[in-house]
Amino acid sequence: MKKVNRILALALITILAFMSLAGCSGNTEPQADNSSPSQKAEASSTEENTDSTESSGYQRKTEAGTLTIGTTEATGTFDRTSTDGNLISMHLVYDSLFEINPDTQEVEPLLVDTYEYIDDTTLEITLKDGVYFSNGEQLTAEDVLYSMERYIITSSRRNSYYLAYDFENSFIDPENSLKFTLKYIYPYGPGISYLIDPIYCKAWAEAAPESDWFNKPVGSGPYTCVENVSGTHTKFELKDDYWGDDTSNMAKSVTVKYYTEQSTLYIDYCNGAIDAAFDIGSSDMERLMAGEEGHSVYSVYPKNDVYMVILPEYVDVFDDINVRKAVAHAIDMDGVIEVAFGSLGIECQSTLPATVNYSIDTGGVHDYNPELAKQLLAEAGYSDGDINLRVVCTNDTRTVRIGETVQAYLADVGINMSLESYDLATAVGMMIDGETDICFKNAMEGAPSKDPDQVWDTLGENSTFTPGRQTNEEFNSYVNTALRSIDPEVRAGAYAKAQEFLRDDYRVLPICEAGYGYVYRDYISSFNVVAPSTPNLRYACFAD
Amino acid sequence: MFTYIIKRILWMIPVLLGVVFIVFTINHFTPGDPVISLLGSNYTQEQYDMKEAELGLDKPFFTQFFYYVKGIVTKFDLGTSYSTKRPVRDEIFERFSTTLRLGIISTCLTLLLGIPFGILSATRQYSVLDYTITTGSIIFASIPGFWMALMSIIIFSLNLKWLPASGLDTWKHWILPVMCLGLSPVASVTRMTRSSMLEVVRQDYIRTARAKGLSEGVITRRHALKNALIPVITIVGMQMGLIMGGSILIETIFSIPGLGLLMMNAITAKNYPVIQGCVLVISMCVSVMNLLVDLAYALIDPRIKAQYTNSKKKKSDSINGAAINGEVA
Repeated sequence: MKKVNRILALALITILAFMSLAGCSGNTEPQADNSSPSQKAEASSTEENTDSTESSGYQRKTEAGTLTIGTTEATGTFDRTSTDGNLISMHLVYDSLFEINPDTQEVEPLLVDTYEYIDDTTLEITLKDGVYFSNGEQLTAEDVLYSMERYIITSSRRNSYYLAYDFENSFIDPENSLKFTLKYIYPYGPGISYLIDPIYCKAWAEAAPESDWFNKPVGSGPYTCVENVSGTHTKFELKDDYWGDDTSNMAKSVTVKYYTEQSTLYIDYCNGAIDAAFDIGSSDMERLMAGEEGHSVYSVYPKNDVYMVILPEYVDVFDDINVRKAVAHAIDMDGVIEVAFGSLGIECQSTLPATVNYSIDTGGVHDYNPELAKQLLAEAGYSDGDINLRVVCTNDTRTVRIGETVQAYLADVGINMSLESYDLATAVGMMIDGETDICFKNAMEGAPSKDPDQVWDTLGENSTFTPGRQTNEEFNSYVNTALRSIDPEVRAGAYAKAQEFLRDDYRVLPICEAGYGYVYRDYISSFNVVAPSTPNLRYACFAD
Repeated sequence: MFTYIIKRILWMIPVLLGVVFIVFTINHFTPGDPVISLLGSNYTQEQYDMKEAELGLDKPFFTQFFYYVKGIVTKFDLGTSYSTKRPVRDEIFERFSTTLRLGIISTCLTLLLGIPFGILSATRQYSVLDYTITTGSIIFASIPGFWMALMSIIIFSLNLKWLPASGLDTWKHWILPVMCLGLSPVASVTRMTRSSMLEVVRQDYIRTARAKGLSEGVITRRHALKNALIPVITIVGMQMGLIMGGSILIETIFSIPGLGLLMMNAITAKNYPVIQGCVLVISMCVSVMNLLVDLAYALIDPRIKAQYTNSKKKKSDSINGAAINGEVA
């Protein structure tokens, strides 16, 4: 009996050891290699399903005529002034003055019938007639001006985009409630590409309790919200009497499901619980690229966003351009992309994304040349270990990986860098207080426009984001010239010079453009993603 | 007994007030500004001041605390969420039922597995079954819940496609989260039941019961188990409280819109009212759980019940022949 017990105990210990080893095997995400700074950071292999799961005949599990999409951003509210998240819902319920055409990606009128610049600070707009909100109220100019001023009244995060408007001197035509004049503070203001935010029914918005903004929004869009369950899903039904496009091809109902983890989002897509998945992880994108999931159409949509390494003006050691050049050449941006972005990193040509107006090819990222970096540091009078930097960043996985990889590369050329990561509010507060010697920044936070001034808003001379603020007169003269002109040639020329300046100045080092990965089933014939990197599901159609 | 319950409920008030004060203080004095979290990285001082005034954060600390407590006491108003502008009370109670159900079902699983396994292990001490149960307990006690969750998703959702990976739409959606939340406490309950039973079965009255010719089943159920359950109830009560507050990881992995996930998102976003509201509700649940555990003691053990009643009643019960020789009738 004792012998039997001993054998059993041994077998159980073996099983335990095996399970412990099984639990530790494999990584689903690339890891930075910090042990050997001179080597390129390598990604470890992903834990892929080596058995092919390509289905021989796909059986759709969701209901015909409905569209179910999964995403990682929940609809907390339908008030755009309060949120940057889940614009999928906004596109379905609201219309805007202008929209991004999904086929051409150009800004085109939606609620606007005609528009004309009367002079360089006055834009006259006439709205389309016969546009109704879901509560029966007709759209008028009063609704539009109210919707725009609301961003300032509610001290919205986005109100900086609306500070360019002179609402006091903007007025509605007394003889035509659909016509109004919009005044700008400076010539031509931010341009029409800014006018893509939702338009609310003033009568409803002023009286609605907060709960209605959560689950009973009133908009002129093609869908109405029938249910919004906090953190779970939002359901929309197509209107019978939408004023706009022909709705015969649109999905009769749309359900947006929310996931906290990209991995479970992808698993649910593979299991057929959803028809499309937006914002999938880089490792799942690699699985799609390897052909592991059949009957799928996938792509990476650029975010209108360039991730950057910014060398702040207030850090004395970066006053010397040789030091800045050394930092630029010490970092292998391809390695950073591989570690932090994986398959969702898109090579960039400039500090402006390629999808943004007036972006030019300035040669992309700087060459990786650690020997040159060491030489430049020596010329600047610095030897190994002389430069010690303290870097604060946000604690999201991607930014931390960027930081750790850059830390490794800089250590290789003798620059010591300590890295501290904090939650967003704490990190941004510390950065604004000037407590970081290097800033890892994406260019935009929720800015939807294809205009460069929105992309570069944290780089402006009046920017309150201290690490990003560029006070150089030459750079700002180019930007201001572009801002105050409506002539495309003048703007293109000024922005080109500004981009070239940033490249030659070595303070703002582009890493890459980031993209959203998305995938949808092939029975969906049309699935468009538009700025600001959001599926515009009103254009999603079914093949069946 | 009724007096005891009322006293305990009244004692909850200063406890909860203390919890609210501690959390309020921690929120306000830890680094990180919720205004910056809402405004982003590029804003003017005017925007900052407007937003700060809107959120009530421009007032002195004690003024903010006073109005917060006043709101709770008079209207059970837990404030307004910074991000969604909805009443925190609504947001919490939408999610509370999910977490509560998850906790209750997980606890039931824990009891259904833990107590029988503990009894079997104790009554068949040193047998193969005992060793198997003990080893299994150690394994499940060692496995982190989040690892179990990820592995179960890979095995049952991704590879076998038997069960869904997220949400709580159907009964199938509940299986994995309940399993991941409930199996780890099974180990504690099994071990506690086992050791408690081993102690009880060695008592004289058990030997007497055997000598009287009662079957082992009757001895276990009617005599041993009741005496062994008191420490087990303590463990289960603690586990229930831990589940209410600690289901964050499981809710995150399975995308379950519960209280834990709400609190985690609120912490990240520096959404003070939601954090405070969640902590208050969880504290209330833990306090109620402790009260229920104490009442359960009274149900099982008349000696403890006698302590809860007043002295006259206590004297009367002892005259009427309350428990003697340590045996619970």
